Amino acid sequence: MFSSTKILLRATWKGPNIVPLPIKEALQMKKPIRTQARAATILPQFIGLEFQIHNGKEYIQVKISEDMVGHKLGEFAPTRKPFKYTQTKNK
Amino acid sequence: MSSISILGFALPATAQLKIALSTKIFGIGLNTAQRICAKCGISGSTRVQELREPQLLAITKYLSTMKIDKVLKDEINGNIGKKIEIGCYQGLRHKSGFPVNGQRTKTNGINAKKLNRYPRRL
Repeated sequence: MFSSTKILLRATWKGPNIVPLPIKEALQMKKPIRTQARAATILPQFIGLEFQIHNGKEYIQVKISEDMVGHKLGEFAPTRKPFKYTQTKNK
Repeated sequence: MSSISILGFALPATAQLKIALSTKIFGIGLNTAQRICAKCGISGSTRVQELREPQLLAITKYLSTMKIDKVLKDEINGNIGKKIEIGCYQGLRHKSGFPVNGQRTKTNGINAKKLNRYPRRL
Protein backbone atom coordinates (compact mmCIF):
# COMPACT_ATOMS: atom_id res chain seq x y z
CA MET A 1 0.00 0.00 0.00
CA PHE A 2 2.81 2.45 0.91
CA SER A 3 5.03 1.78 -2.08
CA SER A 4 6.95 5.06 -1.93
CA THR A 5 8.59 4.27 1.42
CA LYS A 6 9.79 0.95 0.09
CA ILE A 7 11.26 2.50 -3.04
CA LEU A 8 13.21 5.05 -1.01
CA LEU A 9 14.93 2.35 1.05
CA ARG A 10 18.47 1.19 0.34
CA ALA A 11 18.80 -1.54 -2.30
CA THR A 12 18.69 -4.95 -0.64
CA TRP A 13 21.47 -6.48 -2.72
CA LYS A 14 23.92 -4.01 -1.14
CA GLY A 15 23.17 -5.16 2.41
CA PRO A 16 23.82 -2.87 5.37
CA ASN A 17 26.65 -0.34 5.20
CA ILE A 18 29.42 -2.15 7.07
CA VAL A 19 32.41 -0.08 8.13
CA PRO A 20 35.47 -1.73 9.71
CA LEU A 21 35.41 -0.67 13.36
CA PRO A 22 37.57 -1.95 16.24
CA ILE A 23 34.76 -3.84 17.99
CA LYS A 24 36.92 -6.66 19.41
CA GLU A 25 39.35 -4.25 21.02
CA ALA A 26 36.51 -2.22 22.49
CA LEU A 27 34.99 -5.33 24.05
CA GLN A 28 38.32 -6.31 25.66
CA MET A 29 39.47 -2.86 26.76
CA LYS A 30 35.95 -1.53 27.55
CA LYS A 31 36.84 1.73 25.88
CA PRO A 32 34.53 3.85 23.72
CA ILE A 33 35.09 3.68 19.97
CA ARG A 34 36.00 7.05 18.52
CA THR A 35 34.78 7.29 14.94
CA GLN A 36 33.89 9.66 12.14
CA ALA A 37 31.93 7.04 10.18
CA ARG A 38 28.48 8.55 10.63
CA ALA A 39 27.05 6.54 7.75
CA ALA A 40 27.81 3.17 9.35
CA THR A 41 24.72 1.07 10.04
CA ILE A 42 24.30 -0.08 13.64
CA LEU A 43 24.58 -3.87 13.73
CA PRO A 44 23.36 -6.25 16.47
CA GLN A 45 27.02 -6.76 17.50
CA PHE A 46 27.22 -3.12 18.63
CA ILE A 47 24.65 -3.48 21.44
CA GLY A 48 26.07 -2.37 24.79
CA LEU A 49 29.12 -0.67 23.26
CA GLU A 50 29.97 3.00 23.74
CA PHE A 51 30.62 5.13 20.68
CA GLN A 52 32.06 8.59 20.34
CA ILE A 53 30.52 9.92 17.13
CA HIS A 54 31.87 12.96 15.34
CA ASN A 55 29.33 15.70 14.65
CA GLY A 56 31.68 17.93 12.64
CA LYS A 57 33.07 19.71 15.69
CA GLU A 58 33.30 17.37 18.66
CA TYR A 59 32.70 13.73 19.58
CA ILE A 60 29.37 12.87 21.21
CA GLN A 61 29.23 9.82 23.47
CA VAL A 62 26.33 7.44 22.80
CA LYS A 63 25.57 4.04 24.30
CA ILE A 64 24.00 1.65 21.80
CA SER A 65 20.76 0.00 22.91
CA GLU A 66 18.65 -2.69 21.28
CA ASP A 67 16.19 -0.31 19.64
CA MET A 68 18.95 1.53 17.76
CA VAL A 69 19.79 -1.43 15.52
CA GLY A 70 19.19 -0.58 11.88
CA HIS A 71 19.73 3.16 12.28
CA LYS A 72 22.91 4.96 11.25
CA LEU A 73 25.49 6.17 13.78
CA GLY A 74 25.14 9.76 12.60
CA GLU A 75 21.49 9.93 13.61
CA PHE A 76 22.56 10.06 17.26
CA ALA A 77 25.01 12.95 16.95
CA PRO A 78 23.10 16.04 15.79
CA THR A 79 25.20 18.39 13.68
CA ARG A 80 23.23 21.55 14.36
CA LYS A 81 22.74 23.47 17.57
CA PRO A 82 19.08 24.08 18.44
CA PHE A 83 18.12 27.75 18.38
CA LYS A 84 17.74 29.39 21.76
CA TYR A 85 16.53 32.92 22.31
CA THR A 86 18.82 34.96 24.56
CA GLN A 87 17.80 38.35 25.88
CA THR A 88 20.32 41.14 25.26
CA LYS A 89 21.41 42.94 28.42
CA ASN A 90 22.80 46.14 26.90
CA LYS A 91 20.33 48.06 24.76
CA MET B 1 -31.17 9.99 13.80
CA SER B 2 -31.00 6.28 14.49
CA SER B 3 -27.76 4.36 14.16
CA ILE B 4 -26.59 0.75 13.98
CA SER B 5 -23.51 -0.26 15.93
CA ILE B 6 -20.76 -2.48 14.54
CA LEU B 7 -17.93 -3.29 16.98
CA GLY B 8 -18.99 -0.28 19.05
CA PHE B 9 -18.91 2.18 16.15
CA ALA B 10 -22.25 3.93 15.61
CA LEU B 11 -22.94 3.92 11.88
CA PRO B 12 -25.75 6.23 10.73
CA ALA B 13 -28.69 4.09 9.54
CA THR B 14 -29.52 6.03 6.38
CA ALA B 15 -25.95 6.35 5.05
CA GLN B 16 -24.39 4.20 2.36
CA LEU B 17 -22.24 1.43 3.84
CA LYS B 18 -18.94 2.51 2.24
CA ILE B 19 -19.48 6.12 3.34
CA ALA B 20 -20.48 5.08 6.86
CA LEU B 21 -17.42 2.86 7.30
CA SER B 22 -14.97 5.40 5.91
CA THR B 23 -16.27 8.38 7.90
CA LYS B 24 -16.91 6.78 11.28
CA ILE B 25 -13.94 4.45 11.75
CA PHE B 26 -10.35 5.68 12.16
CA GLY B 27 -8.02 3.80 9.85
CA ILE B 28 -10.55 3.12 7.09
CA GLY B 29 -10.79 5.38 4.07
CA LEU B 30 -13.07 5.17 1.09
CA ASN B 31 -10.72 2.80 -0.74
CA THR B 32 -10.45 0.34 2.16
CA ALA B 33 -14.19 0.58 2.82
CA GLN B 34 -14.95 -0.42 -0.76
CA ARG B 35 -12.52 -3.32 -0.45
CA ILE B 36 -14.24 -4.51 2.76
CA CYS B 37 -17.63 -4.37 1.01
CA ALA B 38 -16.29 -6.38 -1.91
CA LYS B 39 -14.69 -9.02 0.34
CA CYS B 40 -17.96 -9.48 2.24
CA GLY B 41 -19.95 -9.64 -0.98
CA ILE B 42 -22.05 -6.55 -0.32
CA SER B 43 -22.59 -3.57 -2.61
CA GLY B 44 -21.01 -0.47 -1.11
CA SER B 45 -24.03 1.66 -1.94
CA THR B 46 -26.50 -0.31 0.20
CA ARG B 47 -27.88 1.65 3.13
CA VAL B 48 -26.76 0.57 6.60
CA GLN B 49 -30.36 -0.05 7.71
CA GLU B 50 -30.95 -2.44 4.81
CA LEU B 51 -28.16 -4.83 5.90
CA ARG B 52 -29.23 -8.28 7.02
CA GLU B 53 -27.87 -10.16 10.02
CA PRO B 54 -25.31 -12.42 8.22
CA GLN B 55 -23.98 -9.42 6.30
CA LEU B 56 -23.44 -7.50 9.56
CA LEU B 57 -21.66 -10.52 11.01
CA ALA B 58 -19.42 -10.78 7.96
CA ILE B 59 -18.39 -7.13 8.29
CA THR B 60 -17.68 -7.43 12.02
CA LYS B 61 -15.64 -10.54 11.37
CA TYR B 62 -13.56 -8.77 8.75
CA LEU B 63 -13.12 -5.63 10.85
CA SER B 64 -11.94 -7.58 13.89
CA THR B 65 -8.94 -8.86 11.91
CA MET B 66 -7.88 -5.32 10.93
CA LYS B 67 -5.80 -2.74 12.78
CA ILE B 68 -8.28 0.07 13.39
CA ASP B 69 -9.04 2.88 15.82
CA LYS B 70 -7.37 2.47 19.22
CA VAL B 71 -4.90 -0.25 18.21
CA LEU B 72 -3.75 1.80 15.23
CA LYS B 73 -3.51 5.03 17.25
CA ASP B 74 -1.44 3.30 19.92
CA GLU B 75 0.88 1.91 17.27
CA ILE B 76 1.44 5.32 15.67
CA ASN B 77 2.16 6.96 19.02
CA GLY B 78 4.34 4.03 20.05
CA ASN B 79 6.49 4.32 16.93
CA ILE B 80 7.02 8.05 17.51
CA GLY B 81 7.70 7.46 21.20
CA LYS B 82 10.37 4.89 20.41
CA LYS B 83 12.17 7.34 18.13
CA ILE B 84 12.11 10.00 20.85
CA GLU B 85 13.32 7.52 23.46
CA ILE B 86 16.41 6.39 21.54
CA GLY B 87 17.24 10.02 20.74
CA CYS B 88 17.76 9.78 17.00
CA TYR B 89 17.45 12.81 14.75
CA GLN B 90 13.83 12.12 13.77
CA GLY B 91 12.94 11.78 17.44
CA LEU B 92 14.50 15.15 18.26
CA ARG B 93 12.50 16.76 15.44
CA HIS B 94 9.29 15.16 16.68
CA LYS B 95 10.04 16.32 20.22
CA SER B 96 10.55 19.94 19.22
CA GLY B 97 7.61 19.97 16.77
CA PHE B 98 9.57 20.62 13.59
CA PRO B 99 9.33 18.95 10.15
CA VAL B 100 10.87 15.49 10.41
CA ASN B 101 11.90 14.60 6.86
CA GLY B 102 14.25 17.46 6.04
CA GLN B 103 11.76 20.11 4.91
CA ARG B 104 12.60 23.80 5.22
CA THR B 105 11.80 25.73 8.38
CA LYS B 106 12.54 29.31 7.27
CA THR B 107 8.95 29.46 6.09
CA ASN B 108 6.11 26.92 6.28
CA GLY B 109 6.24 24.02 8.73
CA ILE B 110 2.90 25.09 10.22
CA ASN B 111 1.38 21.66 9.76
CA ALA B 112 4.35 20.05 11.47
CA LYS B 113 3.93 22.39 14.43
CA LYS B 114 0.32 21.23 14.72
CA LEU B 115 0.81 17.53 14.06
CA ASN B 116 4.31 16.50 15.11
CA ARG B 117 3.68 16.99 18.82
CA TYR B 118 3.94 13.95 21.04
CA PRO B 119 1.59 12.34 22.05
CA ARG B 120 -0.15 12.97 18.77
CA ARG B 121 -3.82 13.84 18.90
CA LEU B 122 -5.53 11.61 16.36
